[in-house]
Amino acid sequence: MKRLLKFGFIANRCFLFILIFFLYGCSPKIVQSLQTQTDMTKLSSTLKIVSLNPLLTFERINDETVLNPEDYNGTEIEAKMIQISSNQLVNKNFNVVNPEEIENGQFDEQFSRLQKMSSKLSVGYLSPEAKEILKQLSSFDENLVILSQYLYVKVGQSGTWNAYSGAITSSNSSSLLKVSLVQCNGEVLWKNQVLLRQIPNLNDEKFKESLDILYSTLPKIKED
Amino acid sequence: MLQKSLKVVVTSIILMMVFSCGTVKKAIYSLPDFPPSTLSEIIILPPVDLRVDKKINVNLERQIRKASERAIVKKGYNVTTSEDFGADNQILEEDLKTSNSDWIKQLGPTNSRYVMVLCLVDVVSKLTFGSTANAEVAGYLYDKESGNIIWRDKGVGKTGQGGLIGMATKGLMDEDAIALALNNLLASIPKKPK
Repeated sequence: MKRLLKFGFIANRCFLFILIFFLYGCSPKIVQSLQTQTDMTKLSSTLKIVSLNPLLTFERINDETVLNPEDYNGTEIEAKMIQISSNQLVNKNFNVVNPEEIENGQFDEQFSRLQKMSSKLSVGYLSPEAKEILKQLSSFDENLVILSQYLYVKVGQSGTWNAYSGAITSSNSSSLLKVSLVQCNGEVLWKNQVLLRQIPNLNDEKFKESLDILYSTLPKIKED
Repeated sequence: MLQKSLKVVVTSIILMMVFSCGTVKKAIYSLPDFPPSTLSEIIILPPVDLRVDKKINVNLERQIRKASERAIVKKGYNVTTSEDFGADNQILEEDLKTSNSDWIKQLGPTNSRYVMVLCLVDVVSKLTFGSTANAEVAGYLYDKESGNIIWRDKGVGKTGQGGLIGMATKGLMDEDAIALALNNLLASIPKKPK
């Protein structure tokens, strides 16, 4: 009886160990890459940061069918991205200005054109068209810096388990968050990107963590 | 009665199998009315690594280019490889989707016409109670003379095995997933008519 109990205890521990291992393996990992940071002296409180609204793209992984972000709480995700980026910029002593404050909204159209280019702008890639818009903006104020944010979600299939063959698969959905600070003279002051291997979910800690990581490398400006 | 329904089920399965073997996967994009017989020679350029997460070492030459070359040759096309990418290969995934004709015309050797660019978009393997891997590849076939995309598609591969066997074979999973993704990608290239 005693031996049986001991065996039960060991089996129980083994099962727990396997369960923890399994759950650890199932949790998505966050990957951060492509960090660029300019010379700190170029980042000063004289810079005026204008945040473009984040661009969200949701598509099916296997055929690139564009999906409606609203089916994945796109508006809430966008609001969260704006909130986190604003907080981070303020915490790091950046001078954040509203696009409306600039020349009575004269640049609204340009900002909206730039926002549509966020997929490239957020990795610091400037197309000739983007360069032209930035040039126009710099003629108004050379201290303007554009914060560009992009969320690219690939919606894949969920994981499977075949009870007969023992074959398993894991989900292949992913969210790529990209952000950059580009000065109107075309210089990329800072950029970062974070990959999370799951669909964004505001209630999920991993997604919140990904957003925090995205801005974690943004340097703090020394107060004058 | 039972015999009759069994017959219907078996016939449906056979029909499904026949149709699934006969059809070619539909590509994300293929140039309308482009006859595959006009593809005299396809030149496969050095594969592009578009991954954000580059933790897994991948032999792009062997796992992507050579494997694709074999599969496309099997479909009846004349395929060669070139080390000369021609244009700038520091590109974004979306640049390839919306390639402009100037960029296309710079690709590959100067005297080439049909060039293929293959990209590894992602590969990841995971250890759970077993192991799994996912891969994503993309392919583009360009006509340098007209500056057009002829074919563009994507392939995804998912694989995995539960239990101790799966855990022990984790190292092989990513390669398996890439092979599956490549197979899925090239399935939309039709066989060249003789």
